[in-house]
Amino acid sequence: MKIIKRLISSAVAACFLAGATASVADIAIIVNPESGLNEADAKQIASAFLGKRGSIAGVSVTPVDQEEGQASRDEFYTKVVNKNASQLNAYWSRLIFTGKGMPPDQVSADAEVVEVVADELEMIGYVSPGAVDDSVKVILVVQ
Amino acid sequence: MERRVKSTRNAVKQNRSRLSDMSSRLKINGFFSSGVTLLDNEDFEFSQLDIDEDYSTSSVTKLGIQMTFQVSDDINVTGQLVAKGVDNYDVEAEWAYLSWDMTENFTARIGRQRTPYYLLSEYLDVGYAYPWTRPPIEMYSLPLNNTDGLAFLYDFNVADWNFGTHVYVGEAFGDVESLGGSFRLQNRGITFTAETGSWTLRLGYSNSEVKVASIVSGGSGEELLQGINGIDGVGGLKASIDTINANAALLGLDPIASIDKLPLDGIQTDYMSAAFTYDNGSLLVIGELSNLAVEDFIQPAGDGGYLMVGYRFGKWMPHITYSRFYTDSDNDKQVQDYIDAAVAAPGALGAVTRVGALAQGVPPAQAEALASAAIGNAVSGAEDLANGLAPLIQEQASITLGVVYDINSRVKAKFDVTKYDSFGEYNNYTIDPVSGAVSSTDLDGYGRFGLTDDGKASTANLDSSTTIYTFAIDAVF
Repeated sequence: MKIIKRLISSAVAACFLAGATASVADIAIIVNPESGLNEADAKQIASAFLGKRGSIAGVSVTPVDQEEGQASRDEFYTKVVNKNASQLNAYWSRLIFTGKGMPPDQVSADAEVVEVVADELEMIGYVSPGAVDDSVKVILVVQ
Repeated sequence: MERRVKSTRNAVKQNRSRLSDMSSRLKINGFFSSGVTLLDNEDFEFSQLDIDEDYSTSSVTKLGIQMTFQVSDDINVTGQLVAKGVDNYDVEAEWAYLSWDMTENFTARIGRQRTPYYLLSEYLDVGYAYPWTRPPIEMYSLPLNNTDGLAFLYDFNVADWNFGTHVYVGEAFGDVESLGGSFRLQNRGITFTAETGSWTLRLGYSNSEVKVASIVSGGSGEELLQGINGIDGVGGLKASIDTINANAALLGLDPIASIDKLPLDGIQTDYMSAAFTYDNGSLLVIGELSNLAVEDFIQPAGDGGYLMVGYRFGKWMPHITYSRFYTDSDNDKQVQDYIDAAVAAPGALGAVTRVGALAQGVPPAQAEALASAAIGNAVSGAEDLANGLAPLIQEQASITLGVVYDINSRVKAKFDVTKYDSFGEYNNYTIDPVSGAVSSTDLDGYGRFGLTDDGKASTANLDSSTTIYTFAIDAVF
């Protein structure tokens, strides 16, 4: 029940704030509040989301991705990872079909990312800053 | 009533979690390519991919489905089934393995995997994963691409660098149409990769110990083996030269250079490759150099490499690639030794016959006639063998101009034009049927291509280049 409440509240917050933040289109990297990770640079976050490393500064991280077509996803991959959707799919196809890696699990909205990250200690995600609430900790905002 | 609702809700919840559990345990991915290709020249064909002057769709079409089932937290089972037009859409398990993540950095795999000979070898069928409609054929035309066995993968990070090591051992087997036989290979190898920022570097070394399992009757492999080894040790170049030299020794004549039989097992094949890619999001550069060495056996082995540069403009990426291959001096010497032995044999046989006859008191004119007859009998076999071997000294170069268009994030359209030339020349040998004197003329080479066997191709008047045009649609899903 607690989760559902939070889900609704953050979804509502996201709706309200979406208009205000759309033009700025920053992207916030969030982790669990209990995580030992307090800051990270874009390179480290990119390599975590590309499956190249399982920890940042010695803290284990598990990325949660967003589905293709989500605005935050496009922002994140262009600004932080420096790959468009085609390049990203080409990258993952080289790993998936050689058994060298699988892309992170996906959810379908900023609010769900917040929910998952708030729930699990090692999760790391990206959302538009408007979706952030106090159930998660922001470690980097990329403009 | 309330209780019933509650329990229904719980059941739904459980059901959902079981469903999501299933769907996250089983992952299905796939890839697909299709298109059309042809080459512009009636003399040449690239039979490995069924490319000739008639347009073909089947040589571009491939479908792959991969299923990965997460058995437990650290163990998964993966199968990749691929159907290719060039193989009549027969479904082949290109990958079928169990993978165990022993630690966060260390993974062991058992089962069928693709052999990581070169940079692109493990995902050759996944057109979406590389910029061309097909990787440069100068390097990427190896037969038997799977290894059934064990692999160990170790990955680690040092600062901004990601390192990976892949060690494997196993066996491979199968028919190779172009060699007219079936083979068993004992494979082993190691690759290193290092990545940082836009750069990826890769080094690979593989070794195969090849055994000829069977030979297709009447095929090119049988011709070569029988021509040199004879049938059950009878006939063939090796036995002929041994007999000639034994007689030459008795008669006080100089022997001619001897050759070894072609081995049917223990053939050592070494693959080496060094590659890099640079991809900063806009500029894409891929380069690779390779060497293939085959010991004690006759194969067109040597050095290959390519350099590709592409630049992305939004959804478009034009690119250019230079690629080259030539059989190296070790290979050429090996081939030439057999050719020299074959063309020297009739003359030497004539000399032995003449001197032997004279020694037995046969009159000179009659001895000469006997010698000529012996030469005459040996000429056609020797010529066939030498002229069959000569095209194994090969070279070619190509330039590809291509463009990739992202139709959407999972589908690309590609168009490539590749001009192949610099085929060099090879010798065509003629042996005088009376004197045994050897002469040779230069013929234009045809590199990795074959000559069409419909009688249109004339070895004396080949075109010096050919161009392959390919349009393809590649998708991943």
